[in-house]
Amino acid sequence: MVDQQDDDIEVELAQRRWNLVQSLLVEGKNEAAVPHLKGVLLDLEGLRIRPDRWNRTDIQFLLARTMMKTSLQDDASILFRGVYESADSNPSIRCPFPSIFYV
Amino acid sequence: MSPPTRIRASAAHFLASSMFENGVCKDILDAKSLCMSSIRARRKHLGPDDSVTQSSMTLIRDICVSGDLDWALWNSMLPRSLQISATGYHLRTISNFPARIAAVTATSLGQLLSYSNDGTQSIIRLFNTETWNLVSEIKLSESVYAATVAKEKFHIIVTRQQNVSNSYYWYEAATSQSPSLPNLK
Repeated sequence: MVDQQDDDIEVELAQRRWNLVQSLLVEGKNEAAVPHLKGVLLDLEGLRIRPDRWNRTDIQFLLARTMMKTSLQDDASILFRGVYESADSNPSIRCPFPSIFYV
Repeated sequence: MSPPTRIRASAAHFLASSMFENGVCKDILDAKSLCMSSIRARRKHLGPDDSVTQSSMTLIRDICVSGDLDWALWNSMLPRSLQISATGYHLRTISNFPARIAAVTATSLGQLLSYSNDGTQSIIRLFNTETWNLVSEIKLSESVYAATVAKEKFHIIVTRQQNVSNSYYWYEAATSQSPSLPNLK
């Protein structure tokens, strides 16, 4: 029962962080979105219950695309490399973001 | 294209672009490999599609600009089944993919390009638009390619548009020379 409540709280907090990230990206505040996107990735590692629409590789890709628009391009390359090398073994990838994010 | 393939191809594309910007030789070699991986993934899963062709062309153009025109021309044949208009580069009516890529390259480099085909081989020449010196001449005689373009014979000139910085225009003529520009042999 307690575990269930903890899970619910964690999911709720993660959802709020995700909502914040989306708002920042829509406003073009990429620099500000980066640390929160990293937080989303940490949320994904910590959550015992994971919302179905969230996939770690998808979020990594979004983080890399966001970093590309900042001074963190070296970090973006490292993330892209990771996505490139792991994508084939991750069938739960959904590419849920607008098509402009992809080529 | 499945989501994993799509994200893998996209990651390869952006990684390759980043590597080209770094300009390190080792990175460029790696970037070429990634570029081809990205293009192959698209060819395997998609038919003709404008965005796919544009992204492939952008990658290959980056390789051209990096100095390896020969590599780019040969590998640009791989996605030639995706022969559709390249409106972003104002090369709408050039039907041959390598020629389009070469023209894009010439545009990027500010060079004049001559492309001709005599039925047995195709020759692409690049000229410096300031000195009119021949910069590069590439003969494409591969049988498959020759068969594809055997009936094509055209001449492309890319030059800088007057009074408009970073803007170019091109035109295509049936003859081997333009009345307003030096004779091209």
